[in-house]
Amino acid sequence: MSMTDKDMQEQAALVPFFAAAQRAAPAPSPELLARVLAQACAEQARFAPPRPLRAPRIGLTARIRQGLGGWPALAGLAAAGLAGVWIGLALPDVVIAGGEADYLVDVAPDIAFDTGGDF
Amino acid sequence: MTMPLDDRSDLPDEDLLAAFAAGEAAAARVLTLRLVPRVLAHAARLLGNRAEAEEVAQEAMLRLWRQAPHWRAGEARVTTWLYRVVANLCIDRRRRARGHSVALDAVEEPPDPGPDAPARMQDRARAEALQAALADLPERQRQAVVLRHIEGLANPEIAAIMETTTEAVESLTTRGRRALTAALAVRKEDLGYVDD
Repeated sequence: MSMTDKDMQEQAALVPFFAAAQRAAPAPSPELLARVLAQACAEQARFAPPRPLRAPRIGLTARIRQGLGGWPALAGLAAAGLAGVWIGLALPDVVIAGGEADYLVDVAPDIAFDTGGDF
Repeated sequence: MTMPLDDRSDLPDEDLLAAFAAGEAAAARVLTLRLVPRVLAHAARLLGNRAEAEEVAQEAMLRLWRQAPHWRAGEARVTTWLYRVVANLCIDRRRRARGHSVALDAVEEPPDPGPDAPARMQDRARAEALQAALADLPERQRQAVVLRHIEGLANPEIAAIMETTTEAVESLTTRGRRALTAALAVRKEDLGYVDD
């Protein structure tokens, strides 16, 4: 629908009235704003628990555990540690056979000297 | 009432509503300060009564808070939704009050008189005359005229609020303006009305 000259004249004549109505807008009272805000807080408490201001504190041991990769990684570390202890305790009783000593001579002469004796 | 605004104050209404739904108290404060003046003014223009407009504004905002967790982003603007709720609440009230006379006191009292007091008195007289003329319009004409010429919305948004077409909005505003012109022309001497 296009505006006729009469429509445009009417609209122009009404402009000061519309402008006056805009300037006469009622401002909300502090009491109304407070009531609206109180209702907002009450409704928000029903569907959204208040957010903590900061993340809960995590203990030192928990942070180390998380840094290493959690419980599975710690279990692997413990197994490796136990295996190391066992190897350390068991090694002096191991008798190195002649063939193995020859091999050690090739790759580590110092160890071969200590463990294999004179050749 | 002065309340400090924080860095959320430049966010769109829809983002603030999502933040409110997620539990941010600051979002409620910013939305309240931003939307209540518009909601109250719109209700006052539709009802012509300040006290009733305050009740409607509070009820409309309560419905917005309750809607927040279910709000679907991108579906509608918060203001479009609010204007529609306000209009429906006002229509309900006017229907219930039909037959009772309602005092027109939606026009804000002017501040202390000063050097421009005569101009402000004419401004007030025009606002009151317009409010009285608006009260005599049919519901939908009044709503369309207020949204278009006082709230300053574009026709497509008014069509969304009123759940109709832009052509229907244009027709409503044209008929509304014509009726207002006829009503105000009677008082053109004292209101400075110019129609030719």
